[in-house]
Amino acid sequence: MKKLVINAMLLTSIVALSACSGAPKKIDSLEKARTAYNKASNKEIVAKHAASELDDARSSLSHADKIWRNDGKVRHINHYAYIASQKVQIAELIAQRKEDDATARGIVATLGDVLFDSGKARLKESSMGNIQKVANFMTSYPERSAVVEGHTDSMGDDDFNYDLRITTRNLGESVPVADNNTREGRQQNRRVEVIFPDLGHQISELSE
Amino acid sequence: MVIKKWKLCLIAASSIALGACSSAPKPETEIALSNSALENAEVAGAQKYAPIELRKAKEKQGQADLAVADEKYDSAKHLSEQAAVDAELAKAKSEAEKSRLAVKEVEDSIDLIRTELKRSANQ
Repeated sequence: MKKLVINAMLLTSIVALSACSGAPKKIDSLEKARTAYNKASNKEIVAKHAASELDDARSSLSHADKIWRNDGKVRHINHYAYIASQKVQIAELIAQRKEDDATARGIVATLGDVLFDSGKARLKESSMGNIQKVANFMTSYPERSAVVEGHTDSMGDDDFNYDLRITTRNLGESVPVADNNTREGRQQNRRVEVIFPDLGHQISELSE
Repeated sequence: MVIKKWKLCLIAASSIALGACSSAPKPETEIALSNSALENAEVAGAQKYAPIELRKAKEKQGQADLAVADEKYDSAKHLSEQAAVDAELAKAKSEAEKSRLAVKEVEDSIDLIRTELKRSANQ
């Protein structure tokens, strides 16, 4: 009985040993790169915005994997696994940047009635801080254009200054956002919208 | 006679191995690529937004240059490939950070405007 147990143990270790020699020993850097790649490829924004970068990462990973399966030098496996890991991170960062850029483009800053007194087109002193913030944003990103839309209530008309980089659209009373029959509604309708359009779609947007 | 054959084999094998080492070409392309990747990273503001990644890339670039001087071209190739990918990461990180800050800045100013609107509506 005792002998049988020992035999069984021996058999188990032989099986375990042969399993080990069947595939090369796992390498940390490669496993980490694989995990990172799988995680990134499951992220929707990475697939959407950084498909080619993810492809690059995959080809480095396959290269590392191939060397590993052929029992190649650990130094080489580590090298390509490192390249793959870095490329995965690059893909994630690029995806995040593109997502943020899309968000920024979609932002419509509505500068409300606080900017103006009724019947006046001159900006109030108190609104300068906010205007300055928009200006700072545009100075930091000179490649980004802005559309400044000025709206009035139905009682009046207004104008807005413009610069080479800024396109102004005077929409007058054509696009109200509230009831022009009440004082509160008219207040909401007197507004300026600053839009940062998608660079690619800018022309069609302006030629409306 | 048997021993002699064995010795011959060893000599042949080692000369092949040596030949393989010395025949590795100088990694001109990889070095040029990592140089331009470093330049791009700096232009993107990596000094400010990704200093750690940039430093890592520069260190590897320096090590690659030393390896080239020692004619260790195999190691120089790996080092400059890693320097390039580190520099690309530094660039991507810088650009992501700038975009994140841009969104935050616009959102902050909109929040401020909203607060002021509410305040004026309550007056």
